[in-house]
Order: sequence, then C-alpha cells, then structure tokens
Amino acid sequence: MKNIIQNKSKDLQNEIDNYLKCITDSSLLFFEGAREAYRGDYDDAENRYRDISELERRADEHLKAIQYKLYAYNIAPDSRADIFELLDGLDDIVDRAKKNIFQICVEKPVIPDCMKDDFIAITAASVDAVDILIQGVRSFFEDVNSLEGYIKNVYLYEKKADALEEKIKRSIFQSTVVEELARKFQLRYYVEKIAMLSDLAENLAKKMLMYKIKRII
Amino acid sequence: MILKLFYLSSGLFMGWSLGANDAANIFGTAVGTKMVRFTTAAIISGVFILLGALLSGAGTTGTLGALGAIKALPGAFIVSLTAALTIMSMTKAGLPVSTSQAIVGSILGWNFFAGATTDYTVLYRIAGAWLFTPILAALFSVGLYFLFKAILENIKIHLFSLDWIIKLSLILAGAFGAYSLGMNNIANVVGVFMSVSPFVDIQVGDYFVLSSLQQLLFFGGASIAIGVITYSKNVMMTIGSGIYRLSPVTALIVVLSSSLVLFLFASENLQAGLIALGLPAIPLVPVSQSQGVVGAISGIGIAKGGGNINTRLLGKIVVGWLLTPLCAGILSYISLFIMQNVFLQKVFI
Repeated sequence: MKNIIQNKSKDLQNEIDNYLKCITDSSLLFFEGAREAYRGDYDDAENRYRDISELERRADEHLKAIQYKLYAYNIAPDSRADIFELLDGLDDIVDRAKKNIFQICVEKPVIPDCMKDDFIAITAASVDAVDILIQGVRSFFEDVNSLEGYIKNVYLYEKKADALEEKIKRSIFQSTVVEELARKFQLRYYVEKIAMLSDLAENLAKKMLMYKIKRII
Repeated sequence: MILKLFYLSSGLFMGWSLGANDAANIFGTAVGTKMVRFTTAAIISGVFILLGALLSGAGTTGTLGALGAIKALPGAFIVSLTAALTIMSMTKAGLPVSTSQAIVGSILGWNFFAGATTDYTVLYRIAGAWLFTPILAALFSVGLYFLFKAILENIKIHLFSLDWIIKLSLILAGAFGAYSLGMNNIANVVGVFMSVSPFVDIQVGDYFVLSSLQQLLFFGGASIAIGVITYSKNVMMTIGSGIYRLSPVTALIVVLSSSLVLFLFASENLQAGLIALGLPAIPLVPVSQSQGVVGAISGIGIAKGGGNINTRLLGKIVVGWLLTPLCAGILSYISLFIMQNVFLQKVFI
C-alpha cells in the first residue's frame, strides 16, 4: 500500500536521465575521437577511447540500477519490459562506439585525403542519428505525443549515413587511390562499422514507435 | 437458532461465490498486470463491499423483498441455494451468468410454487434494469474513453508519473467499484431472507439499535468480503492475463463504467434527489456487474471503431438473460416441492 501512495518514480527518472547522458556523451566523444584519428592524432583518439570506456562502465551501472528500480518499485508494470528493452538497446550503441574507436586506434587505418571529408560526414550522420534518438527516448518518457518527429529525423540521418556508406564504398573500390585489396577491405570494414551506429539507432526508433502504439488506449 | 443459521448458510454461500467471482471484475486487470498487489486489492474490496452493503444495501434488498415476500426460512434457503446452484452450472457452461438473474428466477419459482402473486411492475422494472445495464455501461465507457483519450493526447506528463496516477486511480475506482458492488448486489445474498431474518434487533448503548436487517446486511457483506479474500486471486489472475486483457487505462474505464451503473441502480440518495427534482427515478435493482463489464468493454470497442466487439459474447449474454432465470425458476420449483414433501418443511406461509 505504501508503495502505491508514495511516488518513487523520481529516483528512477534521475537514473534514466544520467544513463541517457552517458549514451549522448559517448557518441559525441566517439565523433571527436574518430575525427582526430582521421587526422592522424592517435594519442588524442586514445584518450577519447579511455573516456568512452569509462562512460560505458558508468552506463552499465546505471542500467543495472534502472532494472532493479523498475522491478523493485513496481513502476509501469505493463510497459517495463519495453522500457528495459529500449534502454538495453541503447547500451549496444555505447558498446559499438567503444569498439569502433578501439579498432581505429589499434589498426590506425590510413584514410586517403580525398575521402577524409566523407568519413567525417558519415561519422557525423551516424552520431546525429544517435543524438536524435536519445532526444526521442527522452520524449518517449516525458512527452510521448511529440515522439514521431524525432523518429522521422532518426530515419533521415540513417538514410544519409546509408547514402554516404554507398558513396565511400564505391570510391574505395572504383578509384585507384587505394591500391591494395587488403586496405580496400579494411576501409570498407570501418565504413560499415561506423554506419552501424545509425542502423542501431534506426532499429531502436522503430521499436520505440511500437512501444508508443502499445501505450495508446 | 443453529437450524436458523443453517438455513442462512445458502445465502452466505451465495455471497461467498459472488465475492470470489465479482471482485475480479473490479481489480482483475490491476492485479493481473501487477499494477496493484492482490493483498491490497483484497483488503480494499473486502472493506468497501462491506461498507456498501451496510450503508446503502437496503434499497435493492427492498426491491427483491417486494418481488417475493418469502416468510418461511426453509423456503428462503431453497430459493438462495437453487440460485447459487444455477450460477455454478451456468458458469461451468461458460455463460457470463448474473447472480441477480438467478435469484430473481428462483424467487419467481417460489411465487409459482407458493401461489403468491408476482408484482409484475417490479418484475418489469428489474428486467428493464438488466437490459439497460450493458447498454448504460457501454455508453459510459464510450464517453470516458474519449475523455481519457483527449486528456492523454493533450497533456505533457512523464510516463512514470502517469503510471503512478493510473495506479492510484485504479485503487480509487476499485474502492468505488467494491462499494457499488456491495450496495447493489447485497440484495442477491440477503434479499430473500429479509422477511425471515433469524436475527433480532440489538440495543447498543442508549441511542443506537442494530436492526435485524443491518445484521443480515453485515453477514451478507462479510460473506462477500470473505469470498474476495479467500478465493478471488485465481479469477483475478485469469482476467488480468486472459480473455479480458486490457491496458491499465482501459481497465480503469471499464471499472468506472460498470461501477457507475451498479451505483445508479442502487443509490437511494440519487433516487430521492431525482424525485425531488421532478425527474424520473432510477429503480433500485440488483444488476449484473459481469454484464456491465462486458457492456463497458464493448463500448470501448465501439469507440475504437467497432472492430473489437465480441458479438458472440454479447449473444451469450442474451442467452444468459433468458436461460438463467428460467433454469433457476424451474430448479427452485422442484427443490421447493422436495423440501416440502420429502423433508416435510414449510416452505411458505
């Protein structure tokens, strides 16, 4: 009875806010780190990698606390499975960002100058998709009626990332700037992994739309 | 006295089964979806059913008393028992059966057996109320559905705060539903014993008298409450995750709509208020909460565009309307014959 009368959701709301901040910060750090790596500043990129690792650790702690509080406080029992699935999906984005920056730092790919702008553009599009997704997640909790606008924007950035992915792949394999096949494959691999961030954002946006429909009375 | 209490046992059994089944209509979704714990639901239901029965249960009880003034305890025992048995068998057949219809059928069986005159004005009033129960519940739920939809589409509220508000609303609506159930359906439990109450008035202090009717209402209300506490958990879980799988908001609408109907058909104050205003009075009639719930769910189906109306279930209700009183009446008539001629008990005076 006490559980019902006392509104304990404020605590959980703060936990989710902190978790979302970790995701946003890690995706922005990923962008900075990737840009530095494209320029050849690998020391700075390494620092970003360490910062993202720390954010990932904190995000995991927040996620565990969220799961505990959702169930222990019996909050939103009819939609808590959806809520947890959504937030758990965001954790995959941090993991992907961390793996990407780690691989760039370790393998130090040489990106031809003529492709650097496109690499930065695809990274920016993917990070923008994640950023808009996080805004959408906040809206899912705080103002569900304006969610669809964010979802449309996530789709938009994902499409942009897809178009850039195609363009870069064509450049890699059709131009003579990159000669060795192994290097071609390596660059293609990075492009796919960077675009994967926007794909993850798009998948979560689709799921969020389903969760919204389930909440309509 | 022990024999008198034994005769009362069929009414208490009726109350127990009513509590075990009908509380699920009030808190089924809330408990089934884990919005509200069963213990909380059972305590609230028990307390408010008892309060409703004690404070406002006299109106509908009087109506049943007017339909058949049973003056012999063995007769009242049989009427109540046959109604309960009819409910059991109809429930097994999967029909959304109503205790009100069963008890009215049994009373009519007694009227025929005893050669008593049936007050057809009262009977038509009761039948009319049965017909209007799902219709009114559907109308209320359509109105509430659009109201809730408009509110939810226009407010900016955090998901968790909304969840908390809905949870509290489900508790409050559940308390109102339990109160309405107690005040409306107590008649089905003790109505037939009104003229043959085994209790005598008890003087409490200098100013307060606990009348035999109040004692009867208390025992009836308590039997419903015990039914809720001891046996309704499984039914609640079935409703929460079974055929009536509703979202918490639609569950709130269904509980409010069906409870409003029960309240309308049981409130003496409302009736007096309408008469004072020169408006037509709403009869005080025990009606079926389950059928109110089906009406309310259909109302939501209509509000959503009509695709979700379960016409088969509505058809079953109509069959139940006809079959329940008929079966209860025939069973009551035969049982009264056996009680009188085999057990040699006076079933009417």
